[in-house]
Amino acid sequence: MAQEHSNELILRVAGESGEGVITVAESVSRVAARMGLHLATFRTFPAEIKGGPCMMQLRVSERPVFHHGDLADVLMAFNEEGVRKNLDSLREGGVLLYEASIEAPIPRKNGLACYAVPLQQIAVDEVGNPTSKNIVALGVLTQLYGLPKEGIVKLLEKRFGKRAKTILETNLKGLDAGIRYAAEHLGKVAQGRSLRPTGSSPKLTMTGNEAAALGALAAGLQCFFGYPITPSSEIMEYLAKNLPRLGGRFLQTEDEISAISGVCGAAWAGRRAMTATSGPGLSLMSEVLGLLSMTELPAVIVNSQRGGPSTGLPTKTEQSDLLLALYGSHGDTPRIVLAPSTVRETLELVALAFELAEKYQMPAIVLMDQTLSSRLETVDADILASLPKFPSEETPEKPNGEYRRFQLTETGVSPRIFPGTPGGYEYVSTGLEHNERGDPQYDERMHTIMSAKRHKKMASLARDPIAAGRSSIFGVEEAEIGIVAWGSTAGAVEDAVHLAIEQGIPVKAIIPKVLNPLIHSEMKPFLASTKRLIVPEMNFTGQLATLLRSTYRVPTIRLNKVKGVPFRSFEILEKIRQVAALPSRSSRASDASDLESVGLEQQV
Amino acid sequence: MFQVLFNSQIGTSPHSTQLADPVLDPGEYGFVPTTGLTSGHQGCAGCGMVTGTNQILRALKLTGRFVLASIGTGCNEVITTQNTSCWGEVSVDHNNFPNTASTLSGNRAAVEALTAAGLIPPNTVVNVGIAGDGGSYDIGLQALLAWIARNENGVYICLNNEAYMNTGIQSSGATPFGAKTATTPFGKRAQGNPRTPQHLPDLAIAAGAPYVAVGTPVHHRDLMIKAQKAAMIEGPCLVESYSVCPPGWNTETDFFYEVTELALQTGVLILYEAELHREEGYALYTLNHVPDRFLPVEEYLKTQGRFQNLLRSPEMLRKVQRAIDHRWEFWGEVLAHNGKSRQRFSEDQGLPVETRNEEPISWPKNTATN
Repeated sequence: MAQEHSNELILRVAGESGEGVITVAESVSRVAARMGLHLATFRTFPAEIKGGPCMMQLRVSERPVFHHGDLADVLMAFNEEGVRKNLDSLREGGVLLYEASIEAPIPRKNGLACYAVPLQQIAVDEVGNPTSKNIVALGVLTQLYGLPKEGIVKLLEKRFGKRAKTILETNLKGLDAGIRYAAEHLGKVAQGRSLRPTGSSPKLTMTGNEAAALGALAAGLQCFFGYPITPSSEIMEYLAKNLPRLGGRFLQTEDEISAISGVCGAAWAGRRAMTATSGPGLSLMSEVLGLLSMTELPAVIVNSQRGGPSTGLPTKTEQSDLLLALYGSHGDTPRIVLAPSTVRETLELVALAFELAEKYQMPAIVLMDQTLSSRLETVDADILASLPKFPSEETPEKPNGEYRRFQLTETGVSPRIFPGTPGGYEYVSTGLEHNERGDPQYDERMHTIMSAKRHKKMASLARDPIAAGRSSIFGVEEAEIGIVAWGSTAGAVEDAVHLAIEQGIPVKAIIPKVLNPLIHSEMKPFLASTKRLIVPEMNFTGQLATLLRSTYRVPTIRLNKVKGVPFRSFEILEKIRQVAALPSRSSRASDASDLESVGLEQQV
Repeated sequence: MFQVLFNSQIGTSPHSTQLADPVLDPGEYGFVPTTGLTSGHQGCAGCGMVTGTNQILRALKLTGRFVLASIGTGCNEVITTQNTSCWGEVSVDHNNFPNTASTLSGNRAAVEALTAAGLIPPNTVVNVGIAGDGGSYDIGLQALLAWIARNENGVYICLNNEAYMNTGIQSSGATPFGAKTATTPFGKRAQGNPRTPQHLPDLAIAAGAPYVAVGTPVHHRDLMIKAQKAAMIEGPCLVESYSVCPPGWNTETDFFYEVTELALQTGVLILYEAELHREEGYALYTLNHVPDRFLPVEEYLKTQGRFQNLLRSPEMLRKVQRAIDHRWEFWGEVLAHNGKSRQRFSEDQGLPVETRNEEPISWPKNTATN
């Protein structure tokens, strides 16, 4: 990809956690964003809080990018493990810059330009502090790829300037040393790939987790209940800092059951509440999710998925909570499931989740994953203005006559008057099956009526214009091969579709953002016009494929990856090429293709 | 509930009122012929938890029984399961976050069933549950108290490092008042942790645990004797081990011993054990350690970055000091008997309770007008 866009760079920095790997990559990211370039990053975490291998890849480009790129143009490695583990992620003809003091032999690969840079030595000689080697590395990258030095200086000033003048000076010295070294010794390395500033305005950079928290604040979040869990803890930490400042309530509970129960209580009392968690937490919350469906209360649950089951792969990514989000909890439990695929969409969809949950009085789950949670992406500043504003304290219309909290209506949505409103609006909220007034009643007739009422809201929601038009559809409209993907896989699909079209294979893709209820008006025409349907997912069993097959009775060709790392676009491209080469008769033999696709996954 | 009796002697003894024979005394230097947690774990430099686990495992093996551990999710689990060989000959059952005590219960039930079936001889296995403070004070509390209520045989070890460290330092039920964590930040209106921490041994003894103790790996003889007693005494016993966490507490890694000693000297940490005789209706409290000199709490707080904000607020500082002084009042009788005394460091000493200026510091009320 990178070769075709001259103003594009994929950089990977690897080393030991604690060596400043993330500082280097983030600084480059933020400066690139100030140059008006677009950005998408990917980082891995070790499972431990200190130590362990650590890597961050970033892709900066003149055009909007939503995937961190397949193969890096440049690898900056601080240790031997960093080289060994990441060499395969370097494209042919790429540049490997590595710490010169590595004693182990550096594995070689043909077609690579390798340069040993004495980062540590420069740090010791010129700065007097070996831990400054990451800043020296930042200086080297600054010089090689034409990053504006003043931008970096500004970043460092912002970080250290206030309190620690000496640290700032040390860092600036390191930066200069790096720049000098690169200018003197590494003149030819850059291969003319300097980044150029674009005319467009500087962009905001934020991670998926920050976006989720911001989206919630924009939508008028008033109460947050949470329990720490990787990888969603940053949402909680962001809100711990900012929600009380804005007059909201932030509470850390003793477990996830308490967190969702708190949300349930706050929703009943009439405040906008949310919680954020990951798979294990959502499992614990399942019972209360059913209660929320039964008592028809709004709640927003952000679930940043990680590898499962059980403790699984706490710091790795997976998309395996879809069926849990859809069906977790006993009984028939209508709920909303949304899945953003970019940071910008996270902002929008979390805000939308509040709106829909409130309007249709049911829980809304926003499915993110570890990749999206930790991905740093550029977002246009205008988005903040376009988000729905903090809701005015609208007084719900008071019904005439007797107040029936679960009144049967055309849409299934009943009047909801907050407890404490004077005028005879008291009611008892119960998890038991109840009649229109809310009194427990579970005879044959009432359970049928009320189950139908609760599910009627789903049908109304599916027809709602706010939920419609959110799917992104791209590619060749008349193509026979179609791709359905969800969540953060979308970025790789987008790249793969472009590449396939360039190679002459017509293909199209749809990324539904509302996964429950599926918006039939968007899905059906797409599926009807597709003969072969590829469903790439980061899970083992093909959860979206299962959903599509049960809902639309379409045969699917699954492409599953459960490695804890996101898709690369060439993996999807390979599948597209295989499917394009299939004889037409096998296109409907869904089971055989499934088995094949699982086999293929092992080779990828 | 139960009458509180005090052991007039201060110090750690291998004898227990609930055991016929004394447990093995590892001696001042803790030279014992067993191995605990061996190399290969990935604990940070200066981690108190690893040392604590090591000593506890060594002590449990001194009982001559096979050690079967059920460990809850947490720092200890993460750092010891990357290279599981560090557990040596201990078999480990890692379960989920909330259910260390329940799994311990299951393990014990199976051992008892195996014993009843004659497949293993009686009293050859010690079941130990090891969890952190998050898994004990917060999410695992229900399981822990229910386990104690069921009065099952086993040892529960709480490695208390006073926050969720592995997920990135978030506050827990054991986080001290005023400490900075990711979810209890410093700021204009947020002042670190607004809650006063709970004390797990108190909860456990109230629930009916026959033996509870607080130890620290710095006083290894004490900790090892406590772990052995917990293993030998019939019923659900709890030992809490105070664990210094350099990254979470923002301390230098080399001062694990010094920080613990300061905790003892300022009275933040009290090493004690309590034996509950449920049927007789009394509990015997033993104070295990009295420092040579007592210091005001600032000396301890100063060593840790997480208390920076607390040190700037005299009002909050007084509140912390008061809480410590109150806690020590409990031991006044024992100290007096041994001819020792602890000076009160809080300024309002002697004032009747009603006139004390004790405004609870809590999260700001919702002052938004809408």
